[in-house]
Amino acid sequence: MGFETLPPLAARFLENFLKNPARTALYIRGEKFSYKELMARVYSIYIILKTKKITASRIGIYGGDDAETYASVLAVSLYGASYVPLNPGNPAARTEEMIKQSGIDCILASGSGAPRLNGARIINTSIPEKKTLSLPLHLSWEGMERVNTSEAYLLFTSGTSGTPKAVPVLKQGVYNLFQYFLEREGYDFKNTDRWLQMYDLTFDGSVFSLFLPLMTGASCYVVPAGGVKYIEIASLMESQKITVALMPPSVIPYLEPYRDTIKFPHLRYSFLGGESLLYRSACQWQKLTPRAKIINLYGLTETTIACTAYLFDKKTAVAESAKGIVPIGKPFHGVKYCIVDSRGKSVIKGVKGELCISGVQLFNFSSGGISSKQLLKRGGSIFYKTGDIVRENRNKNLEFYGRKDRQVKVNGYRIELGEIDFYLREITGSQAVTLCVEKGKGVKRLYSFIEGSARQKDRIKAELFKKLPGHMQPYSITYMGKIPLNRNGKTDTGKLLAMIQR
Amino acid sequence: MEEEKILKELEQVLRIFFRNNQLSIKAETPFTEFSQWDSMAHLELITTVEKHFKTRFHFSEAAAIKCAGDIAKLLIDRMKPPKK
Repeated sequence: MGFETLPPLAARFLENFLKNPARTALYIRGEKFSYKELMARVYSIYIILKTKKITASRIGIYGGDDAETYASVLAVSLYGASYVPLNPGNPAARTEEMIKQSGIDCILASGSGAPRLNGARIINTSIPEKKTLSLPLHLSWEGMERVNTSEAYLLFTSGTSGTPKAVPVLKQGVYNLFQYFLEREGYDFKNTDRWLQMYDLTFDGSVFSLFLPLMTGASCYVVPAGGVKYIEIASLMESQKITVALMPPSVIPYLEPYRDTIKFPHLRYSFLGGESLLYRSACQWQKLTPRAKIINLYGLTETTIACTAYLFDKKTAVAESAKGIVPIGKPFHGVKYCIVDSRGKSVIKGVKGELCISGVQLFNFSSGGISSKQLLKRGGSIFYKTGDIVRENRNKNLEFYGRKDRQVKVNGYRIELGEIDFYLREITGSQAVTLCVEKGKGVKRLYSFIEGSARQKDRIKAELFKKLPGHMQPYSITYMGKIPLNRNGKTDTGKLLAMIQR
Repeated sequence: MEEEKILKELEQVLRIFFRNNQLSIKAETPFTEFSQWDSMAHLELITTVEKHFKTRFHFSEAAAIKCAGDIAKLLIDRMKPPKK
């Protein structure tokens, strides 16, 4: 497929609706929606956009785990625009900043809960079932498209300066990823598959978990928000006999204690990504998923969800797992990479360095809020410096060695510790340091330390909730006279870690 | 009566777990109301309770635990003589 005139991401959802309207497309909050029922909602939202003559190439979607929000994503896609998901759970100031950066002036919102958002026009998408429009006899994405943008969606990642970073992702990148999974690599996805969707729509794992099932005529099962996440995931996987799942490896240690009482025999493909996968976790997971092929995926929002993959095999992976971390594998077709040292020079084969990614899956860096320091020019191509330290092994698989900066992954969420420190300093006017600490079995938590007394503890917590989303809130905040420094005048993390262990 | 006794013992376990000697629990108070409650805390608490009461919960049982009353019910069920 050429990338010049790409159809909307939801085009094949529409084709699958025409082929198999009665098949289940979406399972959400315990309710099943057939392709026809979902399409009826999508079409109703599409008609609203058309009637209101929306011409913007980006449309915001404010909502969570309800059918209308999912239908809005598909409707915006068929309309030809790029979608910008906004999470109602995020602090209002953060949402306002996202609206400002993305330049959206039209937001689809399910329910009446949408607040006034930075002057943007809010369109309510809650449509009573009886009021969904009858579907016309002939539907095609070519006939529905009203705007034609090369951008598929725009997401935000954590930024050290205190403001979230906009990452516009192109359709060409998403289609390259789809081709890898649907055409190039021989994955045997079936229209009877039941896919797990455990991600918030503001996280790019949701693009994988929503669009791939709908492209293959299969069903997407959404993990309910709230509750204890790993329990909701496992319960849904078990009760609905999930066959394909993408999840972060941090789910595994939570389920391991129940290895005698829980199994996922129906799982055929288990994609793990978003965090480093430990060899021992992969082995434990294989015991719970005896029929599943385990695939370790690597990628950033900037490189369109995933751009390298490694098929896990207990026997071969043991020798390839450097420091007990399963390799991230080889890049997808169309993805270029180089490994560079701290001066930006290519390292000798087999030497560790920073992974830089270029090629068709690279985000639209010309319209994102990216610093030129994160880009590297090499042989006429622009590479994105990922900040991840890797090494190419003898089998040409990339081994992952961690980060070169203070970016961490907690439960699959990418977090700049500097962003938390920024707000803690802003709120308290004092020095603050946040550490990410593994608390047994690969589960991580955030611990913040602030210079000062605990008198204003409640105010600080409340203020921080106004600035940062839930996944960026510290698990604990410790107040101390002075943050300890080492001989080089840097934060003595060893002493802080010892305090946490106590 | 049995539930009351178990809840009292459970309160002691939770006081140590949450490092709060003043903690007082009601059977129906959801654990989510405790600050510092997260997935890890949920797992750690269940493991602590299992060790203290020398029992093991099935995944589906652990999944259904939302408050102290849920744990008490499971423990009471385990004390009942097996059905013939």
